[in-house]
Amino acid sequence: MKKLKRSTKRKIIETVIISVIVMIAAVLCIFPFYWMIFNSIRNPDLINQGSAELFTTDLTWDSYKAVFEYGDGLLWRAYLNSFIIASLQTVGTLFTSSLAAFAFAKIRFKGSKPIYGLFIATLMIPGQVTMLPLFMMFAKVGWTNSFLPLIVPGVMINTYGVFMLRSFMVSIPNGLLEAAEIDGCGWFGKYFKIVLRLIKPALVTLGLFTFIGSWNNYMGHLIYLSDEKLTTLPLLIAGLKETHMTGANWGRIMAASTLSIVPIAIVYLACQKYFVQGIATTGMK
Amino acid sequence: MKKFLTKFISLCLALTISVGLACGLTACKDNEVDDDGNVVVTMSIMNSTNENPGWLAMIEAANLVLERNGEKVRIEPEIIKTDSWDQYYTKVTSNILGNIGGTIGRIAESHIPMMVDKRQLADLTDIRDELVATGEYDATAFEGVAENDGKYYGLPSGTQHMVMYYNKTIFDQYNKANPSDKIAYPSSDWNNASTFAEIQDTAKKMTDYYTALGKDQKKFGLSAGPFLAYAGMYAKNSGGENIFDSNGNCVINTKPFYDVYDWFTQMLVIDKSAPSTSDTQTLDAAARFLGGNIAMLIDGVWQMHDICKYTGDFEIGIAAIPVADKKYTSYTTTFTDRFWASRNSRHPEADKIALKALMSKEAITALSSKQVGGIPIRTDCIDNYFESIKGTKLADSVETVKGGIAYKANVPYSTYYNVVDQRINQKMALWINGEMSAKEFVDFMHETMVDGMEGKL
Amino acid sequence: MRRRMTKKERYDNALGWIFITPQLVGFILFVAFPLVFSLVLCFSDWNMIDMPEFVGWRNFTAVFNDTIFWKSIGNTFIYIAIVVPLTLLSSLTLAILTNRKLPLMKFYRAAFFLPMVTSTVAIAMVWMFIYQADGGILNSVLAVFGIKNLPNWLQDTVWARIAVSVVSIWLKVGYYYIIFDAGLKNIPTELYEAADIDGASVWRKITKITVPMLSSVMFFVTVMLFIDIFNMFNEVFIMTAGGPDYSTYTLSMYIYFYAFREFDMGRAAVASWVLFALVGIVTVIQFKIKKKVVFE
Repeated sequence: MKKLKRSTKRKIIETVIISVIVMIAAVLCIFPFYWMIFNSIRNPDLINQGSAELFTTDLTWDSYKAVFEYGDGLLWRAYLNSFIIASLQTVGTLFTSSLAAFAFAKIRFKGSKPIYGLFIATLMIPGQVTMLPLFMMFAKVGWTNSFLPLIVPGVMINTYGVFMLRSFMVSIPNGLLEAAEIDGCGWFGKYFKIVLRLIKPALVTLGLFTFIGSWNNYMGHLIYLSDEKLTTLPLLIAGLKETHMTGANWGRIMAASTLSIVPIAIVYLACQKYFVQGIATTGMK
Repeated sequence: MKKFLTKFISLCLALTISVGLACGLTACKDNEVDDDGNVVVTMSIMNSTNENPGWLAMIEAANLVLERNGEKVRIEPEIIKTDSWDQYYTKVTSNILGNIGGTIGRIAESHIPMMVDKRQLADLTDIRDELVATGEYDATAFEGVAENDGKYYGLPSGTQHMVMYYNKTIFDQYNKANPSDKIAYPSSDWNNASTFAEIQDTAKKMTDYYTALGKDQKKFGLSAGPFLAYAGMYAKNSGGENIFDSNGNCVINTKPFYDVYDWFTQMLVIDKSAPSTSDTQTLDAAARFLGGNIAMLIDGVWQMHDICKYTGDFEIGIAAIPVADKKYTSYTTTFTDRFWASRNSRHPEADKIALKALMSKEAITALSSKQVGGIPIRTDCIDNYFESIKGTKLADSVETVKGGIAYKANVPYSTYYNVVDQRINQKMALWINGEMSAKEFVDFMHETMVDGMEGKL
Repeated sequence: MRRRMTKKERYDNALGWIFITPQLVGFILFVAFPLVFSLVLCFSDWNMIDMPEFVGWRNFTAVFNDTIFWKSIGNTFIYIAIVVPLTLLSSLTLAILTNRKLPLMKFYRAAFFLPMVTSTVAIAMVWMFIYQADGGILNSVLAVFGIKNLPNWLQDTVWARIAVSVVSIWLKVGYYYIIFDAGLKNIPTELYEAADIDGASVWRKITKITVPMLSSVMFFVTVMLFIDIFNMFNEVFIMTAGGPDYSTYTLSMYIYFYAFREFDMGRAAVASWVLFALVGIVTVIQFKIKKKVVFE
């Protein structure tokens, strides 16, 4: 009895110590977000004076107002455009990469191994290598100043997606597919009815990563989009950053950054469960 | 319920896809001709909330001129939202190469040589010749970087020189509190400017005095950028040459340059009476100046626009750029931003017509009456520009600003200048951190410039 | 029987190719073609309006004679030396610590993942703000603890690298935490129970059971981290622009500068191929090492 008590006591102490360490790590992870949100509602004059207290009651919505009023409500257009680009790319890429991943994981066909190897090799290609030639290509085709160069390549090639979904699909037992075959399912049936359902966590994760990548893609948007009608959130934030005398810029940038992060953060928190499952399997294979 | 949700979501997706494609595809279409059959020439402008009204007014005036002359051309502004001239240049150049966006536009002088070298710009020699021949323009503004192999690629949009703004109120406060040790305002006479030693002394006294009053009273005496673009001006004011001597040799490793950077070292590193680049990272020097955080600010006339509009409590004056010794005349770095036309344009003739309209008296007047674009390049618009300042806080300083026009020191921009400038700026932190002496830094500047000239960068 | 098999095989073959067609076309158009194209660019001077001009090895000599180029490669390896072990260590430690019942578990996990789902551009600006020398929150907090004479984080050649690395680690920890966490859950508990009976210490359990059992996961994480760092761009670009004195400059930034500032395509193409080759070599070496080290 006494011994048991001691061990529970030890366990409690252990839990407390570990909790403290983990808590510190969690706070470090969250702090920059707190700082961003805090500075977006803090009186901009305080930022400019370089005062750095952790909290103040001198709060104001002025920075948000400035962002909403910027360029006659450009924010809504930026939201819409960013959403269009990101969602189209996400939907498209989920479809094409799950198809390819399915073929690589479950269908035996000639050339599957070398082509998969080639795909995986391109995982290592830094984006900068192809950025320039791609730009020239799209310029010659006349796709600049439209969403197409920002959507089409993302949809048509996503090596990370193929890699991730394949490693998820490999873990689906073959028996399940064979059973479906006996029920009269073709490859398409198996793909739609079984595989897509089973890999939901991976699809959610890949979808979220693709969406975030596109939502935050500043360089691509900068070089391809020119028309003000086509403004997106990263461009809007950069526009707010203009060097300009009135000073209160930091508050506005923080407000715009907060506004751009909030939708993603909400989606992420909503599907956190799938998300964790999705990433976890990537490392296994 | 679940079925409904699935349906709803798929409907949303279908909608997004169609809307997206519609948006993407309509944007592909080129609106090169408007409803009245006019060719639409798009003009790229750097976004800046305070200057936009000026440029838009200029375009409006130019369109009226075009209409009056019966030209079938109209100009449409395209405001490019970026945060720096570098990014603006990236955008403008990729627009030219991708054949989208502006076929004409405005760009900082510094980028013209690169654009000329890469043959991205249309030849504007005939417009230049025509305009200069009228005798109504400041011919010197046309000289410089835009000329290459006898051809001409960039029309000046206005000249902008450096001046020293100072906050009279801060000086008065100091003098009231220290009656035994009064400091005079800096001199506004370009032939009898304040000396480096005087300014340094003033800056130190101000900084020390206000810092001692407490953290929220802390002020910097002087803000001046020790950048390559201004080095020539300060060297000239110390009896030296503007980077290159008359034979085209780089002369940064001479005494005037060493003296200038010793002066900066004293203020930036030793006295800390000038804000360093990291101090101005979150709030730039001009904003700090108007916030009463800086007593003297060496900056360009492009700040006039905001300072004219300033309605706060401070009284503001303008002085000449300091010199090493009273015997030297004060020179001032002068930037001449340019209008360019794309060589890749589908309507080169319309571009030229549009540019000519932008150079008309009406257009330039519209721009300068909003105090944007610097000193107008049409001689008959200059008075109008200064007249517009007379109703503001800077009324007393009009003559000082006007005086500076005569003492131009152009920056020797070239195809390698931007690389040299980047490398020097990267080294600057070492010098300001005190890891490098002023002499070592100046020698580095010299070597880098020579490397650039020899094509080694 | 035999004929039917071949028919099925043929069917599978065709279907496999149909399934990978969209990605394959994308691969050819948007990866393979640009790669070959940039290889051509390495040997030419092209203003992208007129025809490209063949210049031989000139772009190569320009790049290889450039001290900044070598410095940026050196920086990449410094980042690797700092970021890879620290990310591994911190995400593994967190995974081990949270591999038990803890109150507030949901909150901790949400907090760890948050950095990876946000915009690097936006958050790098916040970090810049945190690191500010005068009035930055970091220095203010440290000053409360009596730590004085603090460096100017982003303006000091040594500290700037560390400051950027910290942000980089901060961005990545969540992702690798998940992977390690899943890896830990896969280790059979019997192993630990047996060790408990032997009276093994916590440290011994970690070094003798956890780490070897996680070796293949660790290998995966290392490879991914290397690739991440070779591609490091946004956080540096925004926080320090590569400075001071190019101490935080990366190869990606070098490429960006020559491609989209100088519009010198040849030079950018050479540098990108060097980057590509480096990533390739490092990955091959890693797989060679894997064969010897990883416990399967």
